[in-house]
Amino acid sequence: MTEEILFYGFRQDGRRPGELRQIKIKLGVVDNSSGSALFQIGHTSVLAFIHGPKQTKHEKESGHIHCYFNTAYFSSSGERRKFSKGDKKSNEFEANVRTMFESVVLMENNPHSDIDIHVLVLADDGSVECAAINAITLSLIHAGVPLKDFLVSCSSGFYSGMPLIDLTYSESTSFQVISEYRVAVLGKSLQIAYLNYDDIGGHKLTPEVVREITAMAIEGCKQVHFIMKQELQNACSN
Amino acid sequence: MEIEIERNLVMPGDVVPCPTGSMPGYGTYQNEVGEIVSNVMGYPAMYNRLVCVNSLRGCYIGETGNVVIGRISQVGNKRWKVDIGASQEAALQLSSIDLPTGEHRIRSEEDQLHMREYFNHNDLLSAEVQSKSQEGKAINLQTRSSKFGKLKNGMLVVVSPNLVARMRQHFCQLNNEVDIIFGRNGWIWVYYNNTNELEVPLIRRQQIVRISCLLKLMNKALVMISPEKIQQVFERTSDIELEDLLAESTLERIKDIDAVE
Repeated sequence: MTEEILFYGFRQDGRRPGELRQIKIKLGVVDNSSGSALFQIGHTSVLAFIHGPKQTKHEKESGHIHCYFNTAYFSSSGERRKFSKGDKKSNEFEANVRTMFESVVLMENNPHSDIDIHVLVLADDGSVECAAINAITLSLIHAGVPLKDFLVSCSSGFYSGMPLIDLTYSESTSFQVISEYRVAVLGKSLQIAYLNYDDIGGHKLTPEVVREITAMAIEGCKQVHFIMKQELQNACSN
Repeated sequence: MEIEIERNLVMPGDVVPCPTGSMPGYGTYQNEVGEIVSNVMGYPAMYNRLVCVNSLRGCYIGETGNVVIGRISQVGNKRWKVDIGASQEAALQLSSIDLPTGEHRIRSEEDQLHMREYFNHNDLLSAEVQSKSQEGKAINLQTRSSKFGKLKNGMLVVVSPNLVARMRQHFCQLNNEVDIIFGRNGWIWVYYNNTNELEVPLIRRQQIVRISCLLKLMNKALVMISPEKIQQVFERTSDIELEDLLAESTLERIKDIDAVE
């Protein structure tokens, strides 16, 4: 693929390198759950819903978080895949979500209770994992689960000396872009909780590049955090 | 005594504005710097020096003396496990129920064998919260009164627990027609209370369904639930057919009755 990534300082969808796509948030979309949220960023849309906190299988057992990551098979903008369940990437993400959120959720408040997190990717246009993390945070807040802080996430990449924020599908699959670099931070302290990177172009990351794209992604996280708080406030006031 | 502090919505991770020397209560924690930080989305409140955040949503947290409705999920040795929509299942000891014969005596092995006759798996019952564990999570129930016990001839509606406030009477009758039990855990039992008739007449069934639909609507519109409010909603929607009761348009009519702040 030899598509233009940057054209006179603008990206394929008309954004500046440091600009996020439009974010839409909807709470309470799944009726039979304790909490649910739909997070849309550009054409990417991810649904997350929570069951619990509920009694663990065996009494006296300490509680855990379980994550179930699913992709609707019509979601991909590339080739249609039959199922994503149980493949390496989603298994890895489920494990990451578990460890990430066990450090953010105050499990000692519900010591013998499990929390089930279900994630469903409805449309995939890049930065799916970041959207999923944001959706999970929102649905946990909607369910009233005690959280230390927001966990917000944003992706970034690097193209010809320029860091890009919030990559689309075509940007993250381009061989010319160093991508997809995903960062999740705590909303207030901006401590990094998650950092992941997979590149298909075979680029080498230098310390300078890492520094730049991490800073860019954290900047994006700050913006996402601000938008999420605002949307939650709006959802509660009416 | 409750002292109101700034009534601004706080989010997880937000520092709750409070005077120095305050202590963190429920819905909050203390961070490394010593500030009191909210861990849920809700409105802060202050009781003397204790700072709390009242969550807008969340599962039921038991309080001693609450009337609740639950479903038996396990029949165990000398006790039942009851699902009451809390973060943990509640326990109902064999010794804390009223025997059907009404005798007061120590429960024997014989009684243990008959436990399934009193309450079986999946039975619905009304009960009172007897005590909470030290941790504050595990709940013990009791049905030591003739008004508590197994439920029949009715319909269960589950609403948000925040909408059922404490009231003088949790067992009441609407228009001499339909009876209601308001569980503080957000489970509400709408039923027909007449021991003489074996079967519930059709007209009563329709009334039960109607009240259930109204409760579902009130849950959607976030209206505080009480007998008076149900009566108000009932009057406002009396011209609507039962089939159309759950439509969006009905929701508009009752939205302004009382919004939860």
